[in-house]
Amino acid sequence: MNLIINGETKKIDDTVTNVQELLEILKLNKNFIIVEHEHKILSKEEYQSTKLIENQKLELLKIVGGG
Amino acid sequence: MRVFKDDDLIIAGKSIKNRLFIGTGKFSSALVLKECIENSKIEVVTVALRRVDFNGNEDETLSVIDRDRQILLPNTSGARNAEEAIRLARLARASGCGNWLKLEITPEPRYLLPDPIETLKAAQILVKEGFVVLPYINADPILAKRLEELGCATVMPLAAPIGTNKGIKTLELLQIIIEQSNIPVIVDAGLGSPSHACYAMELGADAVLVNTAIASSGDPVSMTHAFSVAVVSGRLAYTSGLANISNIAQASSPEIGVSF
Repeated sequence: MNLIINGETKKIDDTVTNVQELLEILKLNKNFIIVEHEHKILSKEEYQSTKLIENQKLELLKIVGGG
Repeated sequence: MRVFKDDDLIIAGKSIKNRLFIGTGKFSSALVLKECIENSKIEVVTVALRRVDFNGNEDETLSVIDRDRQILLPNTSGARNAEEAIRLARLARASGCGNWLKLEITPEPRYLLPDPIETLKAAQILVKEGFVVLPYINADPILAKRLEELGCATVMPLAAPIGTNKGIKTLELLQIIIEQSNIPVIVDAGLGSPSHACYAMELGADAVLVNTAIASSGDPVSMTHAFSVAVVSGRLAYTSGLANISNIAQASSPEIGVSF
């Protein structure tokens, strides 16, 4: 399945069906990640129930150093 | 030595002892940042929000911040208009960073000056959404008042453009903002040395925010300490009441009883 993650098309294993599984396969710690799915900010509780469909847009963000 | 108590800075009900806020960008490592924070007992730190870097450049900033001791102040850096800033603010809150926000809208990269119109627009919405809004602004007293009236927690006027280390180039206007403000005034951006920070505090600023001058210095841990004591010194000078300035000499020794 292709997903548009942070503006780039990424090929993701078809076994991934929801946001929770996506973060696991990308080895991202969900405690430090903020997910925007199709322009909607998800709460951590919504990761499991948010299904992923071909060509959907996701923004994966994190806190970094800044002034 | 006399101990000075009850001089905490209060923002949105939070009591803050250390009036030096630091930005966490540009540090050579998260460990250096951690030492700066711990050694100088920094209580307010700014952070930014960025896309996850899949090329493996890990940023460990968050892992060295002790949320029991430091207040996180996420910024909206990178936002060029109100809409982008509001989106970043909501994302920051969703990340679990709390509801404090350094509202920063800089439409052009050369001087990174804050856009007053977009900042006002965004502040209006974010205050309504329950954010504790600390807007980064040019040293504009009217804008500072407008932001105060709509419920911002502080104003953060600049001393000079971000990262320039030029010191206080907005002196006269900063003084007006400080004189007129009923909310804390935090001098942000452009402070390059502890003397600049001390001077801002002597003028009556409630706090200062420093990043580049610390992170890009030869020894950031020592420099944080230098800024920290300068801020204490400036604050004490302000609360003590500085003596008057005179154009002519005022003898310090008695003028009577001179032996010739």
